[in-house]
Amino acid sequence: MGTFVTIIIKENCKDGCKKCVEVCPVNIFELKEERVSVVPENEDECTFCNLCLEACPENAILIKKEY
Amino acid sequence: MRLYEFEGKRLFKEWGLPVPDGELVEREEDLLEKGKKIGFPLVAKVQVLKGGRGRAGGVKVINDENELLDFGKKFFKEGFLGRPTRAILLEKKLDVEKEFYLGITIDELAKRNCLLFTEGGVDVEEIAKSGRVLRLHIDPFTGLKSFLAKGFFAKADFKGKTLLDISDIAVKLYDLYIKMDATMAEINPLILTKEKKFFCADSRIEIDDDALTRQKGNLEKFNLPVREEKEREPTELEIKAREIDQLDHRGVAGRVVEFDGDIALIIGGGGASLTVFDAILRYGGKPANYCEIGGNPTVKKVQKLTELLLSKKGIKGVAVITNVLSNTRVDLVARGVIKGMLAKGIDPSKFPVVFRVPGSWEEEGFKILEKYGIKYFTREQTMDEAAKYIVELLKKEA
Amino acid sequence: MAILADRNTRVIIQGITGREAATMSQEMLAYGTKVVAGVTPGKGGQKVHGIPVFDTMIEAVEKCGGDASVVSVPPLFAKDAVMEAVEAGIKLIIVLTERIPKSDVIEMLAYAESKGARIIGPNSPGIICPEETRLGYLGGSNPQKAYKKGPVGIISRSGGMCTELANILTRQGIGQSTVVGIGGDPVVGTIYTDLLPLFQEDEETQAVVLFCEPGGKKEEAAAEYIKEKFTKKVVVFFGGRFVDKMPGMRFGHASVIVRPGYGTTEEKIKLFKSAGCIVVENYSEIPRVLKEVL
Repeated sequence: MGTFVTIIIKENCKDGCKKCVEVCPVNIFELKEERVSVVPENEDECTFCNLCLEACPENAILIKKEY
Repeated sequence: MRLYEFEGKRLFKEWGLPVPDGELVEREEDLLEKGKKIGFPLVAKVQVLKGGRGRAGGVKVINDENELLDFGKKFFKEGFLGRPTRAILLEKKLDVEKEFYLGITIDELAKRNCLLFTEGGVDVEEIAKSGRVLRLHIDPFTGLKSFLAKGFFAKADFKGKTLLDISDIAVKLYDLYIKMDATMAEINPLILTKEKKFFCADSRIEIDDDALTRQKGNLEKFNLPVREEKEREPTELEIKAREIDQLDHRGVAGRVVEFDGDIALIIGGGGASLTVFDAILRYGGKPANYCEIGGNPTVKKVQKLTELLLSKKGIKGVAVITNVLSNTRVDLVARGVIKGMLAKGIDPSKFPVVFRVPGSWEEEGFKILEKYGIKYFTREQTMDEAAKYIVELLKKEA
Repeated sequence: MAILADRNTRVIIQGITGREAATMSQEMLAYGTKVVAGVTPGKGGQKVHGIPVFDTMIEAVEKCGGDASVVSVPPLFAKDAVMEAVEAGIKLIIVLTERIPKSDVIEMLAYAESKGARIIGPNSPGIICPEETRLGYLGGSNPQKAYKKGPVGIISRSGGMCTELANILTRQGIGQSTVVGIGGDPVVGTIYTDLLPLFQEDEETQAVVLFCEPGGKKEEAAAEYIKEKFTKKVVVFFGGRFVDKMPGMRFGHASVIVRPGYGTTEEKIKLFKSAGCIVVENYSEIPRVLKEVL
């Protein structure tokens, strides 16, 4: 959970596709042992560009503003 | 990036420019041995990156071993003009008949490189004011061809062999200037000896900071370590600030200059930073630093910069003031600064802080500032008003 | 009449596929700028926000026409891009890129001059003729907030201060004819003295505001020109007066550095005053001063 933005990867994420990892311009997502997870120190870099939301075929990403 | 005299002379030698016989002394214990190689009388010159060396006694004619040892001991131990002595250059003393100034630099009004020449070396600023400097603007596609140099120096009343020699020096200097991406290359003084031989008695070369990447090969080849010269040695804070700015290439969060004050400034863009700093001073405030943010830096860079500036002792307030931002996002700046304050255990709603950061994404930015209870001004108030606010707030709290 | 470009100026964006340039192109289109094409070598055939992308300037100009270009490419490619634009017949080139090696800048400027092309920059935020056109990124995503059409020209060495000064004028009901960010570098293609004659000729412009800084001789040249040839009112504001007290130290822009008695704000201010300009200490005074002369 970031100070300003929290990125949640829902359970319906198909870890293999890793499209979010590829499109995010600030490296919020990473592939760790076959599973997609959020890089905590980059969460607050989220600019709401929404490229991850557009790329995810499962609608598995939630972007939450903490303010 | 400014080069030491001895480094410049290394380049002069490479380009075939005449340089007096010299020995570089980097350790005090080598003074005598190298001095004897040159022979007395010799000229001893402290190697520094700052101007005004001659006037400050950093250049001396040395007549014997004792004088040499005294000179060396003084400058190796005490440093010179506030910085440690990098080395001392010992050179054969020349039999001077005439001294000249010969240099190449950029003329910003003509938008060309310009060859400058005058009789009488060293205090060229005095001569420049008197208007006796001869100038030749150089077309970058033609370059400084031999015939152009000869025409120029003939007008300066050179004749015969000395005309050819000085023209050759200018042509070679220009070639060096272009090949090394210099922004300034000065021979001051250029000496004509009684035997009618020219020598480059001093060398001042500055290499374009924006060309350092593409000059990497030459810098290594000629053993020119990259350095960032300031009028004084950088402080620890300034060094750390530079490292933070280089964390990534996105935008700028740096250009920090440390001052002795109690208001941390997080300001930008360039012209606005200058304006805000003036305003803080005008209202009687004491800035703790100058800096610049711009080009949409990452939240992390702004956070780390904030943490660094707040780590300075005695900070009593923070002013986050920018012009109306176009290509930097207000909300991202707010995130970075607040994260920095929180990391230092500061409560933004209680500590004296003012924000005046209008522009792109300001609606989101103001939402964030409101959540954290931070006093902010909008584009309806000027940067000066925000500066006045923080200075007066600190006076009240004192 | 806007002095450099207007709503009919056909603009090509060089480096359009870069992330910053893509956003900027969209904003320029939204503002009404006639962006006709983009050029990124190797990306010909793509479209960015509906703008056709070509591999070369010649092809772009051939297929879409072109009067001006905005260059947003990395520093070591900038000279090539600018010269390519000049070669393709472009007469106004805005160079946004900063940190271009100076010998490249000198070459591109000399080449442009030889072909009658004008270069603004490098390290320029661009120009804006409010309610006509914008070349570059002044005003970001909502330029209409800060910029409004009117009788005052602005010339600035700082990009951010263009918008800041326009903002304070607009809030007081004073619009701008053309605003030009000449760039913060020591050697740039267009300086105050290149623009003042254009503002002198322009019927729409009644006064000019200059944002100035310490360092270099651009202001001295401007003061001399104004004294001899400029009949309209000039209001001047300096940022960085404190730099006079710290010779040899650079602050921010590469050009902001003074030597004792050379390039100081004190000297520049003296010359502007003797040329009949009004020099304000606080930029919030500018609207009031202008209202007295407009």
